[in-house]
Amino acid sequence: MVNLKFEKKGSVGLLKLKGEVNITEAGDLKEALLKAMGRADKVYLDAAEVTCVDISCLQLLCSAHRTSVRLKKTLSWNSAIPAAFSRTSNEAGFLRHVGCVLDTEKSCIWVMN
Amino acid sequence: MAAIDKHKDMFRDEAQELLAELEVSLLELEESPDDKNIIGKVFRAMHTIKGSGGMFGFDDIVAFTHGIETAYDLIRNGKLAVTKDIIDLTLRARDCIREMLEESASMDRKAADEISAAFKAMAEQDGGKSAVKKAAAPKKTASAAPQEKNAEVTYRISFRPPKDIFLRGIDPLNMVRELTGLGWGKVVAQISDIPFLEDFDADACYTYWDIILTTDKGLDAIKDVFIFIEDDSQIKIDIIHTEGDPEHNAEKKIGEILIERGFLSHETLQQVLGEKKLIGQILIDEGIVPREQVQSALIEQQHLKELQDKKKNEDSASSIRVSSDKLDKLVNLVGELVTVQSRLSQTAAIENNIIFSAISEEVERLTTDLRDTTMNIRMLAIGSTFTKFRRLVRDLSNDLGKEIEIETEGAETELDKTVIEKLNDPLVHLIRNSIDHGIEMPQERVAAGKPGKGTIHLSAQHSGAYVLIRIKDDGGGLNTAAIRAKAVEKGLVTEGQELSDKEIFALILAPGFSTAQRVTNVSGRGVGMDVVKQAIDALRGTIEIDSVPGTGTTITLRLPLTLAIIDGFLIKVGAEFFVIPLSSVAECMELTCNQASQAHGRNIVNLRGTVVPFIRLRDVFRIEGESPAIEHLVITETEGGRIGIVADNIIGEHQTVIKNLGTMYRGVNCLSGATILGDGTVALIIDVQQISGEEIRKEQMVTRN
Repeated sequence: MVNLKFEKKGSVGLLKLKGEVNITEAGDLKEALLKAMGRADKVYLDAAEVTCVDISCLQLLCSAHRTSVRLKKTLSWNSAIPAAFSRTSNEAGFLRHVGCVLDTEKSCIWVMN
Repeated sequence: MAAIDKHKDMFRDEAQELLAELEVSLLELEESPDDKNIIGKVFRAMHTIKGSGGMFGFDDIVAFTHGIETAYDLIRNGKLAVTKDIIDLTLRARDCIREMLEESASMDRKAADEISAAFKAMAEQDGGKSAVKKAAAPKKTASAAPQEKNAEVTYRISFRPPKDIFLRGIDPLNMVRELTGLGWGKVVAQISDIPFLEDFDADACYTYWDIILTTDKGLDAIKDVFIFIEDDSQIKIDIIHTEGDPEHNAEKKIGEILIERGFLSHETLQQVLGEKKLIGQILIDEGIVPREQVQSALIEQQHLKELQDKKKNEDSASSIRVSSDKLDKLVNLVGELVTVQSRLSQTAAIENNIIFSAISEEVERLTTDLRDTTMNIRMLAIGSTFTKFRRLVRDLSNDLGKEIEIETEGAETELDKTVIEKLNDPLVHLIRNSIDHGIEMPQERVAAGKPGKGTIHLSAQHSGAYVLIRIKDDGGGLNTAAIRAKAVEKGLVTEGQELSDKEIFALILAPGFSTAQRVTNVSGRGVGMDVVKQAIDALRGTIEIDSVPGTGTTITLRLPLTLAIIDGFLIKVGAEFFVIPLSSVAECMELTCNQASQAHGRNIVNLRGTVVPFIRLRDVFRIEGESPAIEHLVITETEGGRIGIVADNIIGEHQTVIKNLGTMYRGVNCLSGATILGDGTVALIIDVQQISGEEIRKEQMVTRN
C-alpha cells in the first residue's frame, strides 16, 4: 500500500512516496503526479522509503517525466535513484546511459548518475 | 538467505581478485598511459564490479564505481588523457571499493565521496555526452548451472506482451527475470510507446523488451517462459551466436545488427558508411533508425563482445575454485592418514608377514604420493604477494619524494599457502626499511654517481626443501659503525668486542634496535626487524643480511616450503623419540667412547679433519639412563656450519606430520613442534638452528667465564 504526500514551497513541490508501489496503486499515483505537476513547476520525487515497485510504476514515472518535459516543467528524484527503483529498473532494463528521444532536457530519471 | 549469502561471498571473492588485477593494471597503465589494452582492462574491471555488485545488493559500490567507469569510458574513447592524478585517484578508489566489499566499519566515507566527486567532475568535462555501457545484467548463478553441458547459444528475444497483461495478474518482470535466470543476459526496456500522462492508462502495459540471452538451456526453455501468453504476445526469438559455430561471428558491427533486426537495409548502410562518422550517430541524426533501437543494438554488440571475452577467459582457465578451509581439512586428513600408515608399517614389521608387509609398503607408497599431491595443491606462486609490493613501493616512494622502481624475479616460485600468508607482513617491513633507510634521495644518489632512481630487487628461488627470498636494494648500505655504537649503547655487545660484519648486521634484528635519526611514519621506530625475525622464526626460516657501504643491502630469507608435513629423520635417546628435519641432515656416523674422550670433555669431534661440535640430546632434555658404548652422531647443516646431534639409536626416515606444541611450550625455542608416531608415542621435532644457537651461546658463556 503506497502512501502519497505532496508538499509545496513556492514553485517547488515534493511528492513523497512510501511503502509498496504496484499496479493496484498506479491509478492513485497517476492522479498524484498530475496534481503535483499542475501545482508546481519543479516536482521532486522522494521515494527513499518505497520498499517495492513494479513495471506499471516504472512506466508511469516515465510517462510523467515525458509530460513534464513537454510542459517545460521539471520532474526528478530529490537525490540518487532510490534503492527499490534502482533494483527494479535495472532488472527490467529501464536504467540507461542516455535518455530517450523525448528527453530533450537530458533529465531522464533512468539515466544513471 | 544462506544461498544469497553464499552468492554474496562468491561475488566478494571474485571482486577481490578483480581488484587485485585492477591494481596491477593501474600500475602498468601508469607506465604505459596510452596502452588501449590496459585501459580496456581497467574499464572492464570497474564495469564487472559495478554490474555484479548491483546484483548482490552492493548499491554503494554500484553508485561509487559508476563515475569511475564513466571516466574510463572517456579515456577509452580518447576524450580524457591518463594522468598520474587519475591513477592516484583510481588506486584510492580501488581501496575504497575493497572496504565497501568488506563492509568495513572503519570505511572513510568522506574520502569515498571526494573520489566520487572528482570522477564526476572528470565525466562532466565531457558534458555527459559519453555513452557508458549499461550495467551488467544478472550473470549465471550457481543454481542455474547447466545440468548437461550443451552448446551455449545467444538469442535475441523481442518480447511485446499484451497491453492488458497486468489485468491478467501476470507481472512481465517475472518473465524477464525467468529468462535472464536461464543464463547470462542483458535487458533493454523499449519505452517508445509510453504516452503522456493524460493519455496514460494505469492498467496498461506499454513497455516491451529486447533481451540478449546466452544460455545452454535450449530454445524450448525460452519458449516455456511465454507459454501462458504466447498467443497474445509478439515474441520473436533469433539466434545471434552459437558456441563453436564459425557461421555466427561474435564480433558484429552495429550496422550488421541493425540489418539483422530489420531496421536498416544494406543499401542505406553502404550510403551512410561513406560519411565516415560513427554509424549509430549518423543513423539517429538522419532519422533512419530510432535512437532506442540503436541503443538496444549497441547493448547487443556489447553482450557479444563480453561473451567472446568470457570464452577467452574460460579457455585459458582450466582451474576450479576451492575454499582454503577445505584444503586445510584435506591436509589434516592426509596428516592423520600418514600417522595411521606409520602405525601400519610398524605393525607389519613386527608381524613379519610377507603379504601384510607387501600391502603395508603399497599403502606407504600411495600415502606418500597422496601427501605430496596434497601439499602441492596448497602451493601458491609467490607472484601475487610480489605484485602487492609494487603498490607499496609506488606509494611510499611518492610520500618520501624518492624515485624507486621495483624489479621482481621468480614470481612463479611456489610456497605453501600458509607460509605465503604469514610472509606478507615481514616482507612489508623489509621493503619499507629499504625505501626509507636504504635508498637515498635522488640528489644524494646522483652526487654519489648512482642513477637518481633507486631499485629494489625482489626475488624468489628454490633451494632444496627451502625457498630463498631476497630483498636487494641499491641504496647506501648498512652503517656498521652506527650499528656497533648503538649495540654498545644498548648493552648488546661490549666496547672492544670483535665482531664480523655479519655479526654486526645481525644486531639489527635485536628488539628495539634502530639507528634511524628520525622517526617517520614509514619506519625508524625500532620495531620492525625484531618483529620480522620473530615472524620468520615462526615459519622455521632464517634471515641473512649482507651489505656493502654505498652499494646496497641484501636480505635473504630462507623459508621451508611447507609447514604441515615434512620428511623427518627419527632418532631415539633413552626411551624418547626425536625428529630432525631430513633436509638438515647431512650424514650419520658412529661416536665411540674413545672418540668422545679424545675431546677432553669438550663436545667436539674430528670429522675428516674438520672439527665439528655436537650436542647431546640426553643432556639438553635431561634424559635419564646411561649412554650406550657406541652412540650415533647425526651431522646437520646449520647457518653457523655443521653441528652433530648425538642419539642412542637411529630409526630412519619418517613422514612427519607437524603438530603444534601447546602454549606451555611457547618459551622452548629448540623445538619446532611434535609428531605422533605409529604406536601413539609423541616425538619432539628438533629445531636444529635454534638448538645449535643455544648450545653455542652456552659454550661461549662457559669459555668466557
